Amino acid sequence: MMALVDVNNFYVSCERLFNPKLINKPTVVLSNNDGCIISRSEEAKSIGIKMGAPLFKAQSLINQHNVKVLSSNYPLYADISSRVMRLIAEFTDYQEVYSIDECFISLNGYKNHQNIAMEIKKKLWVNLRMPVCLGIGPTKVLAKFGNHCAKKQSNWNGVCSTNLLPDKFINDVMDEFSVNQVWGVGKNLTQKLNSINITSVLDLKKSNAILIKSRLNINIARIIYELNGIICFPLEQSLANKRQIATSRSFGRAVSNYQGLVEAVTTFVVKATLKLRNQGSLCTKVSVFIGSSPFKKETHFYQNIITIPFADPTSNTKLILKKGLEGLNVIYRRNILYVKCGVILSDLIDGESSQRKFCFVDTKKDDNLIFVIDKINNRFDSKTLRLATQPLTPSWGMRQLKKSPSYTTSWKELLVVNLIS
Amino acid sequence: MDNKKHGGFRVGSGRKSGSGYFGETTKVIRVPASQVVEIKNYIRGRYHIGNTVTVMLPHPNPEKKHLNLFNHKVPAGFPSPADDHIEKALDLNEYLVTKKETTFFVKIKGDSMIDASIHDGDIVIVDRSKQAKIGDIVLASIDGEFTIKILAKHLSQPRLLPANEKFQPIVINENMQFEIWGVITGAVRKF
Repeated sequence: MMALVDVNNFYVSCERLFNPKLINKPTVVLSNNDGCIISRSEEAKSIGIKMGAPLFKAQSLINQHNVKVLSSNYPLYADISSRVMRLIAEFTDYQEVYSIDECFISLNGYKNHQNIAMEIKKKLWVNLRMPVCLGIGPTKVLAKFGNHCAKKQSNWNGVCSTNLLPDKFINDVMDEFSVNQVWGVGKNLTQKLNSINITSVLDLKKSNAILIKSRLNINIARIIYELNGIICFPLEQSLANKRQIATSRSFGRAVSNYQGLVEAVTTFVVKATLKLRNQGSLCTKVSVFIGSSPFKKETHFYQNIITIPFADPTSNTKLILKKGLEGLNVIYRRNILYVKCGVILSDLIDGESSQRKFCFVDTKKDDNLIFVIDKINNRFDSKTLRLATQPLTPSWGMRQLKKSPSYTTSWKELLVVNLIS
Repeated sequence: MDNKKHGGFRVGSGRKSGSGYFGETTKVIRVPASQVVEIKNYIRGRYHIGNTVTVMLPHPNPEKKHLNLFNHKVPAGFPSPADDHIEKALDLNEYLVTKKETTFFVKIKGDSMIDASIHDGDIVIVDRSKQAKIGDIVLASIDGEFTIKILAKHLSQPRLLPANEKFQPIVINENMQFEIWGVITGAVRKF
């Protein structure tokens, strides 16, 4: 038996942990650059604020109901997420961290799944003030479906064991839910399924997997088996290393000069190569892309991407940056207002198992330098030692007007408690 | 059935090994197709002038060079008598933090807890996994504001006591939004 544990309104819940003024108040968290609403408290949901809505579209509702609006604070969310995952791991031998706020766990060995689910829920609430829902089932798809039901049914205390419900009851629930609520069924697939008269979850469960496989694909057949309690997606314990690392941003303010783009590319290369080294990989190619806004009519639209291969797989910031900037120089055009820029490191290989293909230059000295820089930046602040073209506070930086402090990851931003009254 | 005599390797056929341009046997090396150009450029750039590739060869009759052999003993190091007694160094985290997942650091401003040795500017350690008992120093939120006080009880109502006679106890009633956030388990101060 497995369970999906998922934190409700995760970003808002993290903000509320350190700011009790937000408790019971409609609250939303915005995406990068304060563009769209990406997390909503229950209060915000109930007044009709839609998930993913651009801020300006929700502005009148926000004003009308005095909704608290916050920029996203990823250092905080990442830290709380790792605490949540470690606490959940104490209950199980098998945990698959599926996203920042949800994980699948195995409940094998427990007799009473309902009890252990309540215990997990209580522990996360008491220890981290995180409200969670658990869906339990023999397969991932059923666990995820149970989680969905647990969220919708307020009187179930946030736990739904699909295996304990009578068949007739669960079929009735599945009949009510539309097929796009199933894990792995997206917009396109929903349309295709609707066209062959599969609209509810129950329709999908009862359909013939082999027939559908021949009409659509094997993945949907697997989902059908999983809905019927046959495991097709086993728990995966360790996350595979990423095959590609991309860092990109929309600029808070458009950039037209070359120097601004050099700063951006430097910043992204530094971020991406750090991720690369942290997962112990080397990359074989670096791509740089830039683009102007397709929506602004006054300037003409331009976007381009360039990919440069390396003779030797590398994780060296200096080498990767050199090639990246050469690439930027090739695709850069003057008199364009750039709003987007990014760096992609691809064809990643495992650092240890790699064979040196063809050694051009001895990079050992540079590699050691990067190692020392990483160490120092890890110990102090991530920008203690930086490359000369990497700006401390870029003019094109993210628009984040209402970001809460990084309470748990920066000594300078600790929660301050006033003991003056 | 006697077709073994046709085709295949025949003794004495082909060029003699070592008779080619390089004067020795040559070897084919594999390089990734995507990098052929780069590798060729590299070889050209480094070793050559003009269009033809010149490959450097080891000298057929290298000059002999004599190097002195070290003839004194190199001590391999006296084994440290402390080797058997190595223990790991002390870590303050270990001393101050019992449960990493539920422990947070909070900075103090003000002196209402000065008699409990919590000073202005201190960083206190808060553990959310500890169940608060009467007499514990707790971080609590009252109507959206955080404070640190000693948890007490008076006529079955919680009370928060300061540790400084200049301050008044806070009486908690049902109309207040009151939550105990965590228990203070220590404080750190740098001079």
